[in-house]
Amino acid sequence: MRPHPATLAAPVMTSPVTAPVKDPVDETDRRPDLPWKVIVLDDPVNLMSYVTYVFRKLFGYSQQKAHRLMMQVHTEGKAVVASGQKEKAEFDVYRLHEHGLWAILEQD
Amino acid sequence: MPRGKFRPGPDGIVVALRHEERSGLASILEQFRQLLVGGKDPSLLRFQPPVHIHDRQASEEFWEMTGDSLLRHRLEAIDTVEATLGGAPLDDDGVAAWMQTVNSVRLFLGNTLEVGAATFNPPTEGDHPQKAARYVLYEWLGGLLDELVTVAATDLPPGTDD
Repeated sequence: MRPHPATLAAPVMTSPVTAPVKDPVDETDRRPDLPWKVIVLDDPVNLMSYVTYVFRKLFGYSQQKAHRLMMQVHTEGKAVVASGQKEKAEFDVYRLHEHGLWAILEQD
Repeated sequence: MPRGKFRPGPDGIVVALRHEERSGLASILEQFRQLLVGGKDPSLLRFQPPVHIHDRQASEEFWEMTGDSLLRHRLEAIDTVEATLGGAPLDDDGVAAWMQTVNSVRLFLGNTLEVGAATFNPPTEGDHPQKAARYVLYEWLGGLLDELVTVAATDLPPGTDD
């Protein structure tokens, strides 16, 4: 393949894909004692093989478990890939975004 | 038999791109660096999407705390890819830099091409020459990433089902 002719600048800018954002919730709704879930959302761009690899690398999962989680993301739109205290969950989300996966946080 | 673009070696995975592939990728990386530094292209929002779906303020606070670090990391990863384009063996950090950079460019292209839209059809050179060229690049980067994943996955530990 010859990557030369392509440029990254799009002639017509398109709207980025973004998740719906609702109004902020009341701070009093937070429950600090409950664990946080790290959820990966489906993305039409990321390769299945790459997503599986990232789950194995970041969380130490077996090929079977990583593949199962990847398929859950693909078929159901999302999967919980880890959970724990907020700081750890936020770090996991950061690492997933570092790898280009779309991860969100939700409290149980 | 096609030559592999990534080969396992005694000192790490070796990048084995052809000259025209290296020069083309170098050009794309420089453009991507400028896009990241400029920070104005709306498609870059894909790199900082909401992380708290029901709490906009918490999402903004998350990216205020981590956005600069992530950008710096992406730029350093581009530097690493550029430094190893010529075939220097990749250690673990080098493999991560290649994967994350190739995937980031692909995410950007996929977003601008709207490959996730229900109405998406691969652009053709006759109808949309520039889009078609970007789609060829998008597909090529996908093949490149998949090859690297296949080679690198053999070095991962077996892992657990827990």
